[in-house]
Amino acid sequence: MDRILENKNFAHIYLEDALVDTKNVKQILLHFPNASIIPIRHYKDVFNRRHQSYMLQHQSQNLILAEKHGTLVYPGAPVCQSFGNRWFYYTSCVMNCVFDCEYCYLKGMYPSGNLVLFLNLEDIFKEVEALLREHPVYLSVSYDTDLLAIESFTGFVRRWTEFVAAHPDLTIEIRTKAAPELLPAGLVPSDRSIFALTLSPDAVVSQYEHKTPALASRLSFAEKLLDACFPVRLCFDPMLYYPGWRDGYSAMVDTVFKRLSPDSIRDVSVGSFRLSEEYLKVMRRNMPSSAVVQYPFVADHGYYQYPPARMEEMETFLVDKLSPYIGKEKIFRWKEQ
Amino acid sequence: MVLITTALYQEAEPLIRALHLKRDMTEKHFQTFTNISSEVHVSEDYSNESADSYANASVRLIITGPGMLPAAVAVTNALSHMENLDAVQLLSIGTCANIAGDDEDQPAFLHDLYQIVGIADSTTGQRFYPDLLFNYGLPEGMLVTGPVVLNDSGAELHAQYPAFSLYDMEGAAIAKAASVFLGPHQETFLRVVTDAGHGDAVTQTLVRDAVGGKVETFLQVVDNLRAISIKETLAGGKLPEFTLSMVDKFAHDAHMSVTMKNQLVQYLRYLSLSGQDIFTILQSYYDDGRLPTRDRREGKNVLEEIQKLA
Repeated sequence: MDRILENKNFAHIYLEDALVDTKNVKQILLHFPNASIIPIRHYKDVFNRRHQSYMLQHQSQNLILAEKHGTLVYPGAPVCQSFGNRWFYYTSCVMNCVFDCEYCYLKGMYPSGNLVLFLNLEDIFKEVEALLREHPVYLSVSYDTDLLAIESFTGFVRRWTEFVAAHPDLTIEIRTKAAPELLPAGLVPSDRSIFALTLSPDAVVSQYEHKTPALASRLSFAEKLLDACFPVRLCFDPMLYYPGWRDGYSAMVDTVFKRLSPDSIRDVSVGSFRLSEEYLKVMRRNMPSSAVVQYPFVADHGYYQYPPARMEEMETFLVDKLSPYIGKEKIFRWKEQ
Repeated sequence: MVLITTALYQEAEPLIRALHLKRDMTEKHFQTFTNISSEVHVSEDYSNESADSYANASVRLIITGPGMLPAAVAVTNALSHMENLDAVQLLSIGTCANIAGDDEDQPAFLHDLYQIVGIADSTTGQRFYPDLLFNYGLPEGMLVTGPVVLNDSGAELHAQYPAFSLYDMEGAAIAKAASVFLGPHQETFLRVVTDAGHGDAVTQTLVRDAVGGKVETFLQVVDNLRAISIKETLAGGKLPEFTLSMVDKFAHDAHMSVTMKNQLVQYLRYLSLSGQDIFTILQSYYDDGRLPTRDRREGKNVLEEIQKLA
């Protein structure tokens, strides 16, 4: 019997009726000439179906093209680092990620493994402008996804950097594990468009950060960003406990600063794994064979994290390892608010 | 378990023969057929994906009767009696009409077999989307379900549902009923076009031949779904039965509360996934005379020691 193959990623694209024949959609569909287009009324008709298997869908991920309505910009989440910014917000112009990190909270938060693109970026821009009329804004734009990983068919990072350049009181963070060979075309350099690269030891990348580029590739990309005069933040977050973690994180830091000059780095963040209780329960149920998810975390005010002694040990270890390279004023440790 | 539904006996007959199914006389409300193995006996080296593994996964075929309500009742009746719903794969097979007529963008040809990518209930407007995880090489179509046999109203319906080129009387009801028990990754809908919805004579022979002509494809789909069902039966990552009974005894001997036992299970699950030998860990407490403990306080100490190993 011939084996029946799983459908490749984006073999199907669900498209909201209201967006048919719009310019944004046509541009995206050019990248997927063989995809089968399925019309839908609302993205939630597909994204919010009952009893979905996030894991199976993520293996054959489909694309959903939609418009987002209602509130589009949210106050920053308490488990996220604000880097000392008072007016900390985040927005989700994309839901879900093409990478497949075992520990990612998206696996517990979203009912579906499919990727949703909200094409009404202009509406998000309008909402940010409304906030900017009140105060400066620090905005994370790539939290519930990896925007850079899908830049080739969305152009969203380019549009955000263009928007930032036109709004002097706006600073954005673009968090990513992606490492494209070339810097995406059209990005507008600004010291307020911060690229935050998540870095992990090779053992963590290979065991838990599936489909992501190796550490060396991420560092190559960091070099390209720095050459193009973008500020680069290094995120050692989440730190994961695994046998040999000390050697792993130690070697990683040495590797990083053999490649990147510490003076060229804007700042770094350090934080160990932490996740809402609700999300972790879902992840544990769906990933019974994942050691990183099945670790016996302890609960504290609705969040699961490493036991306090272990957490302190890990984070202090890394901060102490970083300090000879980077001044402590540039090291941000996540602290519970 | 692969649960196949058809509305009519003529739709089921070719499948019953091809899958060697026998009538299940214990099911009194709907004609039901099943393969001989009612339990899943799976070869230990499933990783080799032997043909025996596929053959041994159970297949159940239910003839629901025509119409939305009978279809919903039959599916609900079947699924509500199943224990391991995670391992169920629903395969809805049937015939349908082409309501797209001369729509060049959506030709639906007589006797073509379609994989259904979206279903609309014409009575409520509700829509259903089965997951499309596998590539069966079939053309894809969207199906609208209604309560009556079409008699020249196909074009009107297609005008209301322009993306939908196919029509039947069961699909949406099956999807709705199944959604209570199953996820969209557990549902596959396949339809063969038998007429153009003009009230054409759809004879028993026509239906039998339409389905019979696609049996090879149906068998491939069933085999694929069997493989998924077996994989799900084996999966779960639960601690194996014999380990669970050892953990039960250990928790009992350590005077652990339910909460403490749940913590113990989590520690052991992690230790096992990290490559540690949990049998040796647990056995050492007996070998050293630490178990049974005198009381819960001593049991708590034991628990904390195991926690430190993690």
